[in-house]
Amino acid sequence: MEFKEVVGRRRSIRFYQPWRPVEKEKIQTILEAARLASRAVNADFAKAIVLYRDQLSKEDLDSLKTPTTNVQLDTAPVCIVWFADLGAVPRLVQAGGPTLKQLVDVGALPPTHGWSHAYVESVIVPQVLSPIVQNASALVMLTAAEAALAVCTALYAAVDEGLGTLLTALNAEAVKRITNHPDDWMLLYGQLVGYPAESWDGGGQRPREPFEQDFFEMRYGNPFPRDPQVVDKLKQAKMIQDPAPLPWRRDEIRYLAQMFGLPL
Amino acid sequence: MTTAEKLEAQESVKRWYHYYERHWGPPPDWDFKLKALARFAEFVGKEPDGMIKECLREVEGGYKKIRAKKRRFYIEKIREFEEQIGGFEGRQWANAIRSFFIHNGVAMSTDIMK
Repeated sequence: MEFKEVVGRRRSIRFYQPWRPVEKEKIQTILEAARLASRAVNADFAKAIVLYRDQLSKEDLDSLKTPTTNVQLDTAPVCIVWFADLGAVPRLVQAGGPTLKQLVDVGALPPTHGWSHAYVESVIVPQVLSPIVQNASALVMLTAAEAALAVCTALYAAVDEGLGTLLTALNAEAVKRITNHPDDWMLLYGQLVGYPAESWDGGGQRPREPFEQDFFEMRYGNPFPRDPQVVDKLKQAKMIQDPAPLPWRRDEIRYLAQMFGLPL
Repeated sequence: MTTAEKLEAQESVKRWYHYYERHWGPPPDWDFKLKALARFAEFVGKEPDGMIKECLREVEGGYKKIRAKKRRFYIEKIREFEEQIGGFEGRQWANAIRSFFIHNGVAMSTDIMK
């Protein structure tokens, strides 16, 4: 699938075919994509533990749920639990910045831009990264933002594999008990993965605020102009699609409710 | 006044109808829904307004917060109610009650039917 169409097809899917498993190679592909996401100082911020619904006891599955995370957990065969590893930068500092030095060695951080092993050792580690390690809120913000880049890449990879996907909240205590993850891994999301039981387009592309409200040129308050010709081009490339709700969406939900025995 | 009229006079029942109708149109099975609610009210010995009041508490700024223990209590009671009737019919009756709570702002979960 072309990149623009992948972006355009992504929806948060909340009904999955509970009977249809996800091929393991597709799960691996999602994780491989996440591994290659952009990441500051080349540190491994994102960690994941893959849970298979059918290998969890009913008690464990139920314990992961929140008030509105129930149907999706019952129906999705796979939940990739994503964490931000708060130990990633401290480990890097303690070891003297090995991943940065590696980037210098492979020519990704070249001297043309001022990079050298000496710069990593004398400036980046002690003057940039160490203060972040000492500042808890800065460390959490950096680590969560960097890990989220990997999660975002994983979402698009799932769509590209023809799967439905959704980021959902999970009960953190239950996640800890079930996965036994390290204490410095901060729970971000559960990424549900499966074949959609609802239409892949989820009843249309979700509403967004006007483009000009969020994007600016040079100064805040000076909206980036939205060229209608570009919009048309993106519609042709299936990145911009018909907006929700499509006329049949409510009927679709009625049928899904009936199929799964759910309230309306 | 019939049981249905008494129920429809309750604020929580008006709210249920209002929000349901807003999204899904007038409920075609409204009489059934009221019948289910009346039966559940008898089952737990509570009026509909009382059930919702138990589950939600007012917080600063005019917002309402869900009382988790009460929500869990009613999830369990609805499950018992469903089991008492049994099968697909039990699910239909129980889902009418779940709909009542949901449209009053108390998220109600249930397992999918297999």
